Amino acid sequence: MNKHHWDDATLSAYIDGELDAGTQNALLEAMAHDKSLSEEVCRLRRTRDWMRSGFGSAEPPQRALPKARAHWPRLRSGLAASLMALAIGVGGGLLGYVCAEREHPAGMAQATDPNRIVLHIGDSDPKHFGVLLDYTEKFLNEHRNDGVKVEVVANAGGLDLLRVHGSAYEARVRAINEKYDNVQFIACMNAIRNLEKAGIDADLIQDVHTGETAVDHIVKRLREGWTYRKVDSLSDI
Amino acid sequence: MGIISCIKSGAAMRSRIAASRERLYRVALAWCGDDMLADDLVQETLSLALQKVHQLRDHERLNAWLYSILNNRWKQYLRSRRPHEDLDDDRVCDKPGPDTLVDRFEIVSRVRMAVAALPLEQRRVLALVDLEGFSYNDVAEILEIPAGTVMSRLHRARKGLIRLLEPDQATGNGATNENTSASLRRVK
Repeated sequence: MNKHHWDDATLSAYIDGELDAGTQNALLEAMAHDKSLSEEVCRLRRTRDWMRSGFGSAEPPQRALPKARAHWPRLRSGLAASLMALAIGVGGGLLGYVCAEREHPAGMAQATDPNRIVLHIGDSDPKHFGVLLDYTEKFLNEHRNDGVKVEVVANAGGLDLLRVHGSAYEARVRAINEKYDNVQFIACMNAIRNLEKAGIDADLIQDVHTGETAVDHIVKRLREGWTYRKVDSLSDI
Repeated sequence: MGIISCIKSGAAMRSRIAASRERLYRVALAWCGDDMLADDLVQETLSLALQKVHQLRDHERLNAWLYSILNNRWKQYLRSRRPHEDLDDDRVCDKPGPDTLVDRFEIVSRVRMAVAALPLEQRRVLALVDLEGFSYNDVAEILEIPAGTVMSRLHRARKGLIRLLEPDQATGNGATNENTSASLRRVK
């Protein structure tokens, strides 16, 4: 049987064991004689491997089993403080969230510009704060004549870096902000809201920008061709 | 059923519900792309399941029932956030292909980005089938959509993923709408 008689939906159904015996046998017979048809089935089957690679290792935070149903506002508000410590996502998780949230998905940059970097921190590990600020200063110093631009975007626990009462690195952030006019520190709007829901004033360091979520901002920059680096990837400096 | 049996049965169900957290979380994460929200959705789902488990007559259906609850919680969340969003907008097809993905990201990130770029309804079906291995009929029941819709959304999702992750391979095999209709009749 010629492969053109087999459409994608049927091939997908074959992969999932959803075809009746007769159709499945006919398809197997066709694949035996049509290499490209077999390859197409393999291609479609790969999506399952991708899904398992992409999400199979994801583990939820440890939480006690709920005793009763909670309403959304109460649940989110009550959890806000502890959830603040959780990054919205690492790498693609973050971007995935973006793609799910924004109206215009997916369009990433055609090529990244090494002179425009958006640095992302989503946790409150002081060591990461130090690494991030070290990298920022080093990059700005080494490329001072290259027209570089750096944006440091903080969300979730990373917001502490940009808070007056939450960061031991407050003085360094201020100093960097004052010394360089090609750097911006940006606080995630969602993280600020979450703090406020928990009854905590974000109290950002002077000249820290905000107004949109970290994920929205990062994806916008990626679309514009900026290079993205998460703090985890900066250990090589 | 005696009181002791009832208690044992209830404890067993509670244990099974608790043990479902990770699997629910992975699907929720694939749907919403946000680990914090996924965690909330799952917690809500478990809470509701524990509250309503006595209403579940067929305990063998527990798994599908849990995902039904998760789906309802997700829909409720979406309604509260974006009441006018077109959930089945086939937007990935109009967007640049995988060449636009940022190369530096690892496969996990790239997959998550690609999945997030799929239309919401396609993501929903894809996660249930490819992550959880649900049958089309189970997915149809969980999502309250026809089995044929499950099938068409699934293959569109798979083609979309291939287009995003392996642009050179996304040539298609000449499927047509007519052929798709024919294939639906061949499904069990």
